[in-house]
Amino acid sequence: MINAEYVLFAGVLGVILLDLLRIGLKRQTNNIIHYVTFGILILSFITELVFGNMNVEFFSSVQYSYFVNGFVLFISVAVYAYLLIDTPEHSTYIDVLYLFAVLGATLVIISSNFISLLIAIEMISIASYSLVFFQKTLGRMEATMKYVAISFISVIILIFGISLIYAGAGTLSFGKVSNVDYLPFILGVGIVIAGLAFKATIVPFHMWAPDVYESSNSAVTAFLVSVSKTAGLLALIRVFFFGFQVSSSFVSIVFFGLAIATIFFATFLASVQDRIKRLLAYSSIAQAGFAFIGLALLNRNGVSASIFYIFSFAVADALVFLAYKIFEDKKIIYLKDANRMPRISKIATAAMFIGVLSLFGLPPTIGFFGKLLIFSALLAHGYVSLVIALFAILLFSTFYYANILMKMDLSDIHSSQNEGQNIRIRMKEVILVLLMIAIFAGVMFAGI
Amino acid sequence: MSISLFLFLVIPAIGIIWLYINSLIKPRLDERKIVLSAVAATVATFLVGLITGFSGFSISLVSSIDFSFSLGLNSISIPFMLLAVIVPAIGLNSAFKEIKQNATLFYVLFLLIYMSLILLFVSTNLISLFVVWEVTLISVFFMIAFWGEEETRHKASIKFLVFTQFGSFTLLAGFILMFLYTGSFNLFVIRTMIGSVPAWVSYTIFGLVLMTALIKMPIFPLHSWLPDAHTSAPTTGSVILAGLLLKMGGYVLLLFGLELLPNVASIIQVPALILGVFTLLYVSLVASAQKDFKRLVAYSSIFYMALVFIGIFSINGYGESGAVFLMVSHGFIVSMLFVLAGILKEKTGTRDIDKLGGLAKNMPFYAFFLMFAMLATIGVPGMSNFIGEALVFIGGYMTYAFVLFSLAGVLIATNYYISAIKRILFTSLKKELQKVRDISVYDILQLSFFSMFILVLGIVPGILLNSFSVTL
Repeated sequence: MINAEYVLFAGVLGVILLDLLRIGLKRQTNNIIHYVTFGILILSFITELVFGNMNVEFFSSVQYSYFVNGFVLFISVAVYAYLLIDTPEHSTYIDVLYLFAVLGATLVIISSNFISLLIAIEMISIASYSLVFFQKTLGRMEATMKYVAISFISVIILIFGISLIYAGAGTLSFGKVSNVDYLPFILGVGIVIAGLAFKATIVPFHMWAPDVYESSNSAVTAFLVSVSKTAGLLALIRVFFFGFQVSSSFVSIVFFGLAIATIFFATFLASVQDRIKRLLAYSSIAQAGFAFIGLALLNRNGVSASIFYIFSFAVADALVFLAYKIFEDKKIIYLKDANRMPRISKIATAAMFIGVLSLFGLPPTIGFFGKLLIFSALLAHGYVSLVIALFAILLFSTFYYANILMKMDLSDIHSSQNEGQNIRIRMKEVILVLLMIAIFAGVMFAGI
Repeated sequence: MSISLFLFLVIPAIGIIWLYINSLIKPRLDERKIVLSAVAATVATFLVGLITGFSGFSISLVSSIDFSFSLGLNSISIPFMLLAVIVPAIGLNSAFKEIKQNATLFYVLFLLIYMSLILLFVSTNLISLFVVWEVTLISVFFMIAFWGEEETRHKASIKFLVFTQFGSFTLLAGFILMFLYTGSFNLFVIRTMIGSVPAWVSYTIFGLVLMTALIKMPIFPLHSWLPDAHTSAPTTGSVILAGLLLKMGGYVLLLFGLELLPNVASIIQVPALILGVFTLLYVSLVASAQKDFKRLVAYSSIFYMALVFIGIFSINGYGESGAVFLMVSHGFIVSMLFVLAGILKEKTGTRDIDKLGGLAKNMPFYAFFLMFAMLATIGVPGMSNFIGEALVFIGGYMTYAFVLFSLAGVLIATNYYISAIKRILFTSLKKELQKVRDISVYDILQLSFFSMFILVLGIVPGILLNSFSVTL
């Protein structure tokens, strides 16, 4: 049986071999490798749509994996196409690593064993270090070092937690856990939360995220914010909802605490930023908190709301970061420069606009329906005071989201001259339009 | 053959798409012609629909959370639809004069607001109602933020958005609670099921809807966004804001508060009436101290919404129909006043009452319409506000006599309006105003339309009063 993961794995090997062949033939141009990579990504997306997930010993799907893998591959294709237009001369290593990272993300989503989960997470992480480093900015060394160091710590914590769980439960497969020795098991669960929360950027394990997001190429940031973060959140869902069925009120309270801390911290920090990219980085952390709060309910209703929410913010975040790349190239770094945006590209401005509306959660974008499902799940289980607190924080976030929108100042779109329109920006705009359609059409998946 | 309500989505949407295509091609057609034809087509559809009747429309989008796009008339739709279809259409003339920068985007926003306002009053699914509710808010926010007065627009628009967004959240929370306890977002299903929900839920829902109404109408402690938003908004924005957005608060309070949960309403009747009367007196005193003419009109619109609030909370047929009637009538009058304030700024360059004087000499037509609008707003018999005010006072007196304290507010309102008229129109003409010219023929036409509706509703109120029924 053929699956997206097989296609991707074969693709990684194929691209490496092809690259060796290219070096052997002394061909300088590496365009062909890029196109092959792009082809493999599209092929894997189609395979996913047609054949669904794979079910083998360590990797088995649950009911949502088809949907999640589908949108992860969709965003990956869009981001890679963007990267291809943005830096057509990038090294072939980037292609291999990108494929590797996408493979890792899809494997995290269907992992059913701790070892396979760990390996899949490492696959994303190792590829991400190089992707972050490849943008030639001033802060890349610092950001990459921070990322590598903190990721190593998180992996060590994760392995420690897994070993404790093994000590307690005697197995590493999800779903086979029974007769646990309580103390090491619960300790292990707690440590695994910490290990996975690094990837999902849950406060207080988020400290690497703003720097890394800010210093890398915005297309890579779009990948990290959407695909990599989706993988982290899905790993948490997989382990704590489908794996252990730990529906104890204690775990629920810990999750609620983490989620609320994430939302509050990230929102407050976002509101004091004056650099657009850093603001968006903090806002994406707040989004992860909202997705996590659905999981904290630890029931079907909450988790399906959470998964739709992950989809909604992944698409919106990918859209805003890809759109921001066009502006970043024209040196729009601070919020006060945002009024130049319409002059550079109208479509990218519209994309940024719609993306921010969706992150803010305004109808008729999918961000609104995601928040609607989350709130409805919370209210259905009687968390009225929590919903009030979330409404308060959303109201607070109005300030900075509305601030970006207002600073864009669309009122002189037509009167102003275009600054440096070219074919490359035109091609990027096509991808943005595709994602914009997804922001509106995504509502049909709300019942997943 | 009846008119499908779906047309009110289609026609403005065609206008928006046409505007967009027009911005791409060369030579460009004048945007004003496009928006005018879209609005005229909508008005014509509405008028035909009034004769032939309207038919509903429904399409289910996500069945698992009962999200469908469904339109249909409810008992109080028609008067609000009249307001939503006519007022922005007449107000359009101000936009034609005022908007120079990037007209395409402005008219796209305008048509978006126009479409969603009409759909708001005929939505029978709460989620589609909330969607159009938010679209109007956000579009008005951008209208103020991008085309408002240069110095104050950013601050005022953020203030507007934060306040009204809070109102939206409480409304959304109320809607989710209704869904959780009745299993449906459909208005009519909820109406049949609402009797079976637990008492605390019905209290919470009522409290949330009331909070939304307090912000949107607005009522005393939560009113501070309105004068700032009005002073910074372009005239068209003010017309939409005062003529329609404030009425959305009254609409949801009637629809989800009074008609759905009358027993909860009767519990908080006394505090609500006291709050209404207090707001009315307080605001009329604040308005007396205003120097900016537009700010004065903004405060007086809070005054009339407080009167509507009193009418709604008198919980009887007179009060409720008075409230609906007053909302419609005030929608026309306050829009006319804002248009007049816009003309004042356009012709003389200032809205400061102290800097004006003696304009009646140079601007006889303007003086006529200003006096007409002011007499209408203080409720002279024969004009529409009189009927609404009389019904509200009758309804209020039938429940609690202390409501008649608000008559003192009407006296104060009369005082500040008369003194404003005196200072703007009848003192000696200032030297710097010698060259001011009278209003153009388009302005006269626009103001005559407003006057016509005010007079018709005042002389034959039956046509409006028979078009809705208040069920209690």
